Amino acid sequence: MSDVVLEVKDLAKRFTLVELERLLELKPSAVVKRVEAVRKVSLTVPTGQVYGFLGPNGAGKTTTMKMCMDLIQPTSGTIQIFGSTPSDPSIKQRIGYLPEHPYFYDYLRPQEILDYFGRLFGIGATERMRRIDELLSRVGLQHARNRSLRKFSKGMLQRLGVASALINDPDLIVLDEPLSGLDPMGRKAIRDIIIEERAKGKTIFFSSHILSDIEHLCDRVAIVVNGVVKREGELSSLLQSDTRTSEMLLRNVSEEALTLINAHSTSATDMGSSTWKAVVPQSEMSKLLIQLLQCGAIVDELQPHQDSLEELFVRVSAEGSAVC
Amino acid sequence: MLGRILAVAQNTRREAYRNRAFTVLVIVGVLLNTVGFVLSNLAEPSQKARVIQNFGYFAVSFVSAITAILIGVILLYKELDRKTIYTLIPKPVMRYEIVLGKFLGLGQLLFGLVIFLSIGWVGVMWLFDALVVNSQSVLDSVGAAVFLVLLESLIVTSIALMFSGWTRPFLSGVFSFLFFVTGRVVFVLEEHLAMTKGPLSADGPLRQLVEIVVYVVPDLSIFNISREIALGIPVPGHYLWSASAFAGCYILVFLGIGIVLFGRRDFV
Ligand SMILES: Nc1ncnc2c1ncn2[C@@H]1O[C@H](COP(=O)(O)OP(=O)(O)O)[C@@H](O)[C@H]1O
Ligand SMILES: [Mg+2]
Repeated sequence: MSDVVLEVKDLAKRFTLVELERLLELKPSAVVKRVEAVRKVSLTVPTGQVYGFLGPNGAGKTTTMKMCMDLIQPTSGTIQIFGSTPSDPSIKQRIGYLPEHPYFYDYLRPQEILDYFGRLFGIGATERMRRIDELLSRVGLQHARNRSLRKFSKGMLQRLGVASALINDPDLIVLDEPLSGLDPMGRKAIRDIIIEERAKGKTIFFSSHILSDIEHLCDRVAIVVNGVVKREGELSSLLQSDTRTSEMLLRNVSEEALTLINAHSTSATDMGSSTWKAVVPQSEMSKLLIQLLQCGAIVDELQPHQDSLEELFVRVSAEGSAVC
Repeated sequence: MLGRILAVAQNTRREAYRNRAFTVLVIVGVLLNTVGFVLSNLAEPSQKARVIQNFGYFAVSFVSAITAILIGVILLYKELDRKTIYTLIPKPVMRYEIVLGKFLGLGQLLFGLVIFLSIGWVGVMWLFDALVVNSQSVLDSVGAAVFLVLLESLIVTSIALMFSGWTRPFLSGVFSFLFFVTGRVVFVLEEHLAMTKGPLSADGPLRQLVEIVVYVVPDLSIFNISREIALGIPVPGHYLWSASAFAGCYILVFLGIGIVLFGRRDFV
């Protein structure tokens, strides 16, 4: 088994929309509209990790995932899953997928849906029954197994979607916004499932626009903005490599030192009794330090300032919009 | 492969049974049969048997064709419109297996429906002594008629499947319906083409268009043998054979096109 489950290179998707209703405007260019949903996405999802696909709404996460799931043909670029292409049935056997808005046959009951999907995977009848029982209780739907889906809330549908993504005990679990639209109990249930599956050695690739989900669950992340992956890698090293500031705690700060601090730092906080906390860009650091020491200030602490994922995300998003 | 096709087929049937439109259509079929013998009381005694026979036949063939279109189109419409197809495509089921499974499921459904309605038809004829015409039993031609109705609805189903492979759900419904109606009247167009007078006789653009239509659209009137039933004429076996071959060819072509188009479709 190779140690990379999913490898995406330079993926792009351009949608061509034909808007017949704009024929009246008599401009041919208005009728055919092109949307670049995904421009340049490259990802490497290693085996056994939780991979977070992070990006604002409309960044191209769903479109990328649909291309990986054989729902949409890419305009350009390549996708390798388990060393094969997305349309290969033998790799589909090993994948579980939760679409962004799970759509279900509303004339079926949860038990029947899972049974149908199980049959499509060629799972035998007794094994199907066993898994259905297990999954329905894992997602907390055992009380509703024979209830009509028309009476399901959005959160219940989401739980059922997760259960049906797991019916084949997949090696790769692809979840599109699995935590959105859930109450706190539901979020916890799904987070627990992600953690349990990882513990079993499964690979989870999931998208979200909610930072805290990613920050707490993921080993590795990609940040996509406007159809382009801006950052990709281990979460910890991404946060570190984007460290461009240091935080210093200074004592004995004179008037002269304060003017220096104000001139060079991005933020300065008065901690009382001539003690100041300042966040200083890496580039200014050495110069400022020397000058401050000359003014008699004492450096109590000096540490690289680690970004939170949120700061990283906001900065990367801003880069993205500056390009466009 | 067979297991997956059967799974899709079973689900298709289950969906249809639970669809309100299907229930309504079955009730319409039963009602039409009932209307037949109510009307027969108004007819002259010599025509009584004929009215019962015709109405029953109409009930079977009309309800089957409408079911083929409506249910075929509604089910596919829902599959695409509700995006349940999203959960299907990433499963290890080939796209052609989905198309074949749908066709099989709808075929089984229509088979059951046609048998059910025919039993009602024969039952009513038996109750009202309409089983014999010109001292000949109509049962043979009833059997042939039922078989032909089934063939026709299978063609219509394959047409609905073909269109849903590429157009938007609503359009596919409209196209399938137009195709069906054209198929029923295409023999009239053919007759017009053969005439030396009339709107289609000249070498105009309309004539060319109609020629294409006649060429492409299957002539569904060959599946209608109401005249033979009314007159008690037996339907020869070779007629059934060639009708089956005709239907088989069209179904293969339509399903083939449907599979190719469905295979390339983006599910956005
Ligand atoms: N079928 C489609 N036709 C045209 N544009 C689309 C289609 N699907 C998505 N888009 C556009 O592509 C962009 C990316 O969408 P999406 O992949 O859904 O983003 P995300 O999942 O990150 O929110 C959006 O601007 C969206 O409007
Ligand atoms: Mg999305």
